[in-house]
Amino acid sequence: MWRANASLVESCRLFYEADFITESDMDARIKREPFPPSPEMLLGTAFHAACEGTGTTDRVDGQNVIVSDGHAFSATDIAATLDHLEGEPEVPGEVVVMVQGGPMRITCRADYLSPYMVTELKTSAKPPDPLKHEPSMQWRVYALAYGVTRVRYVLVQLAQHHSGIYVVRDCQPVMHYRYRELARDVRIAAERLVDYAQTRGLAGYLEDRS
Amino acid sequence: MAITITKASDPIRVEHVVGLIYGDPGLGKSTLGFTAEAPLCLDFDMGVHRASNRKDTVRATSWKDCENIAREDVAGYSALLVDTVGRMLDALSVQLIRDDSKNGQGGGALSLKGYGVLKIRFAAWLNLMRSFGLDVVLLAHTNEKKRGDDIIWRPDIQGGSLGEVYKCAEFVGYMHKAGRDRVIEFEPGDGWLAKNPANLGTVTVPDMHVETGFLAGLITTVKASINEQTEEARVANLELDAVRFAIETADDAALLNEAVEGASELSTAAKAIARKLVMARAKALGLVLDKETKRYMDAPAEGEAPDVES
Repeated sequence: MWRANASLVESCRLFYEADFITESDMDARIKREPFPPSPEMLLGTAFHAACEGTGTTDRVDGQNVIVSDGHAFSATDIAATLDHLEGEPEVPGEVVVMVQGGPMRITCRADYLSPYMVTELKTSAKPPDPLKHEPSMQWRVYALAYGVTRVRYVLVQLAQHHSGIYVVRDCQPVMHYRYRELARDVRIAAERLVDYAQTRGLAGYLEDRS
Repeated sequence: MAITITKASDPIRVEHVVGLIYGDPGLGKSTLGFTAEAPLCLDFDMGVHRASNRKDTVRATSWKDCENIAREDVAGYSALLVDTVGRMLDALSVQLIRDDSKNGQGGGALSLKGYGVLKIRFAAWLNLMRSFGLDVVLLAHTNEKKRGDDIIWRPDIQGGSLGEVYKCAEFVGYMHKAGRDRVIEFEPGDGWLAKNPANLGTVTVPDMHVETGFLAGLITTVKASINEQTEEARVANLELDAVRFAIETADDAALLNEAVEGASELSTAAKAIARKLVMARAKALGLVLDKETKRYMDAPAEGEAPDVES
């Protein structure tokens, strides 16, 4: 049996369809090589944590803030973002699809899961682009793994105020709906990943040893 | 009573939707639009005369034609057709640059600030039209875009506004020729952009002089599907709430096992949530899972080592 997570399946799609993932990047992801997180990734992780209530409250420059992993976020903006986040945070899931050489177990972890919808929080320093995630395999895997018809991406643009506080400059929820051929599309993407790994001599990294 | 409160447990029905249909010129998009229920067309392309089933139309020349629409203007209409939304957004861009030169960056193009204002004005206008009791059908031509080595067909809508239209639209369909037929793809595909909340798939466009209510039927189906999903979501939430209560109040292995049994009838997503809650509760109570019986039990006393996992 093969095993991969939703991010790796999406990385493989991006490798073929976009130009910012190189072959060596892709190999490293399959090998699960650790890489130093960028400041943007650290900021995103801190924002997620603040939304989940793990930060501490404080006051900076006369404003209420939530401090998470060394980043101070506007408490008002965190509260406004929470209005878009529905369900239980950080729920693991998985789905098995059939590819060449046997079944593949694709694991994932929804940012927020309700009985009928996944909500995924995405942060960026750039203005939200509602179309950016439309071709993504990530939400397609979520729809299969959790059996939901809707996957909502909440696109948040973060900016740092001169006081050092991070504020939400823009927040755009975008809904993606499950469709009839979605399972086929995930299977094709998973097959492409296996094919890539086999071609590069990395198939062993995808074998499920659990 | 001064205000009407909708209880959290009450369903909220979607009464009016926004949809986008795009396709090549000459395929009959305007004709399709006029098969909506009681339509009024904002003709920005000046091509509505080609629609053989033309109904009431505004020959729109500027954004003011949109902005000035009042509730009484559209009384008696059920659907507002925007033909085409790409040209309407061009008109809005012109207006925004007229309003404030900082919205432009020369040559008639919008600045980053201008795009931000356009998104807000466009979304606000759509909401206003919905508040007037209208379904809004946005029509657009196609444009090709490269994705890797492939070509994909997308609505011909300028720059960042396409994302805004995609976000606001409840359904998006790509109209094209398939052999002798005209079809609308609501199913997202490799070569086109679509949005399919009602599981419509590929819909063959009939003879619209015979099926004069074709688009009206599609819109009704979309609304019914969205409302059905809302009702299913409401019921699913209530079912999960009952199981959540049972898990969170379980204070021994027997009660937790009972709660696990209660979760067996839940949906896949609700089961995943219940599983997470059960594991957290078991950990808090110091319970362990017997791998064979799949039931929780008290942690063994020191020295014992049954086949369990925490």
